[in-house]
Amino acid sequence: MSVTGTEGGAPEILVRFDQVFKSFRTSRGRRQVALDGFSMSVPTGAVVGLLGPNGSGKTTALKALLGLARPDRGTITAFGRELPADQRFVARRMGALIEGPAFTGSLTGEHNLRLLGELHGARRDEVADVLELVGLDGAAHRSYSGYSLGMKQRLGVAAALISRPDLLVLDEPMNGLDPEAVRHMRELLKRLRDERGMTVVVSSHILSEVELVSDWVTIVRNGRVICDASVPELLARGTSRLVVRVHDAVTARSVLTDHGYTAVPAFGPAGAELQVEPPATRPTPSDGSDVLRLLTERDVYPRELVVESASLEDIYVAAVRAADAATATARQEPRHGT
Amino acid sequence: MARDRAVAPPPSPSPSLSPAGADGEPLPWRRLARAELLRLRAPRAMRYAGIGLPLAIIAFGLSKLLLHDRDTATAWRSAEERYAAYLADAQTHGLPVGSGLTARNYFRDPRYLMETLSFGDLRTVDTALAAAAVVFGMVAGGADWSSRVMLTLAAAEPRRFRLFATRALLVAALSMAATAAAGLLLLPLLLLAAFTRGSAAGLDGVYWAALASQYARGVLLVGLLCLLGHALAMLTRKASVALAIGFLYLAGSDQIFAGRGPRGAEYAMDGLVFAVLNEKPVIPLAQSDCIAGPGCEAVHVDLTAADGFLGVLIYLVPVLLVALWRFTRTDIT
Repeated sequence: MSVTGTEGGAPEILVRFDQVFKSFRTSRGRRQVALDGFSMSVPTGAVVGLLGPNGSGKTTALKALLGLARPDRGTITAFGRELPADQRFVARRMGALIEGPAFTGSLTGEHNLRLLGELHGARRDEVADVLELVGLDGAAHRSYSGYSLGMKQRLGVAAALISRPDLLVLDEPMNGLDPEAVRHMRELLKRLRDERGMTVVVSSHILSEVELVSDWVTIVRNGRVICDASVPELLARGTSRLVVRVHDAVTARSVLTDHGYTAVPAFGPAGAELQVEPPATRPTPSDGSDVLRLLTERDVYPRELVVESASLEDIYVAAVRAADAATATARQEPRHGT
Repeated sequence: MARDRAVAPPPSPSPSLSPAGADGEPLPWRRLARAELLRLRAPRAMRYAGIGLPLAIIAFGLSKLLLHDRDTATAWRSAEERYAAYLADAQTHGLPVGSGLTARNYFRDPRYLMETLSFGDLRTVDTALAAAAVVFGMVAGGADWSSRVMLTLAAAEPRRFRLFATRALLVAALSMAATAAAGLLLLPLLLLAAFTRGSAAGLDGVYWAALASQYARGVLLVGLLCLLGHALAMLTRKASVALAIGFLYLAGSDQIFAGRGPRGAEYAMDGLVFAVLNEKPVIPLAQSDCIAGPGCEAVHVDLTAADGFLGVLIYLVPVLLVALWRFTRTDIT
């Protein structure tokens, strides 16, 4: 990761959403809140994963950044300028793939890209370079309508890159990609960050991919940011789970519960096992050595001990559940008060 | 053949792709206009139209050579035969013979008389182009919405008024240029027909001034109608909806608008188009080929070209303003 930092060590922020509200009027006349006090920061030089279920407000937030949707309230700053007042200044520094690739079906990939390149003053050789960068140089002269979904996505990324941006905004770029194309996209994003110092905001619901490519993760739920942190920080926050496979599960469970551990018997693929969670008072996640020490001191020798680290998916699910629980509590409170 | 899966590792970045826009300069208008012009001309349908339109004009012009003839003697004989048949019919049925009715009334001059017929032919071409321009405006305005290219364009050029105006002007200018070129292509073909299959008598200064005026009015009309179609598509953000509105208007306009509305707009669009393209300022109504048909009524109530333009503007301006308001003041979704 090559997040640009200030002298104090804190990352330099390229984009900041501060208490942004945005609502729409549906076709039935109902007001629908898309962003509900949305606040997030994008560190310079980072790949930021924007996670959230469908309808959580990810695309609306990106559209607000691009000047396509105007917030009702709140401030958005990018490159040190406030939006939408300085949208012109910012627009030339951003490249975006929003709501999927958008091209004219009857034209070739190269022709489509050339038309967009014309807008940004890109020369033909630059168009060719970008096509090569996304791995479409061999299909440049094929009709866009004949492209696979993966190729369309890659052309969309090429279109976002043709303006030579400092900030790349990609809305669900992994959609419809096969595993190899996903890997290529991941490598591409890393290269853009590492070799060009580009800041990338990528919204996705493919959590494993976001975990692999992102330096920073923002989780959105119902128009609010419920989690905004660097990936290592998030993973450290997640509780590790220990799985202990032992012949005398009864004694092992007794030993562990005596020391404040939670040990739930289960039947896993390898037979009887205990799913162990360290005491809540423990300051650092368990690496398993403490459990091993406690058991062997009482002559209980595990056949196997596995430390299962929390994945981004676990953290995402936990964050979403916590946010839903908080929302439910907040809704109930006024009722209790009356 | 490149396949989706067959992706090579990304090569080293090209030094030519360095970050741009560091100076914060806005998108130059010339570049925006050029990009939009290329986008307008890019679809395959436009290339076909670029070939098809001149061919259609040439075919129309050459048809005058086939449909006209200098042999008036045969036409006179035919007129006399029909007049004689009329007299015989009248006598058989005991009907009175119309006073003043002669064989001349049955004479259809086969010659291509440039002085009178060229106005109608130019009007025919301009009317067809006006109808096509409305559709072109709608398709050009709606295509980028349906393909969502508009999101990319609006993100690249945040000054939406500038984007709207550039696109509208280019669409209108392109249709006007096509109409101007069509007229210039048609004229020599009509002259050829006049010299070989008729007469070019009477082509004096008054004639040329009148023809030039009709030509200019046609070019302007096509531009305005193209703008109307474009504005409708930008307002509805769907070419199909704009086309549907256009068809519904054509189907119901005579019932809805006939005789109602402000001066100029009390006639449906076909009447307004006819009024704009009418040759009436030089050719007295009695000599006009306007006997019946779309818009002819407008001529008979002295609807001038200025009234016609006013009527078109009464349709165009509100649609254009609302489309502009929606584009510049609401979210692009």
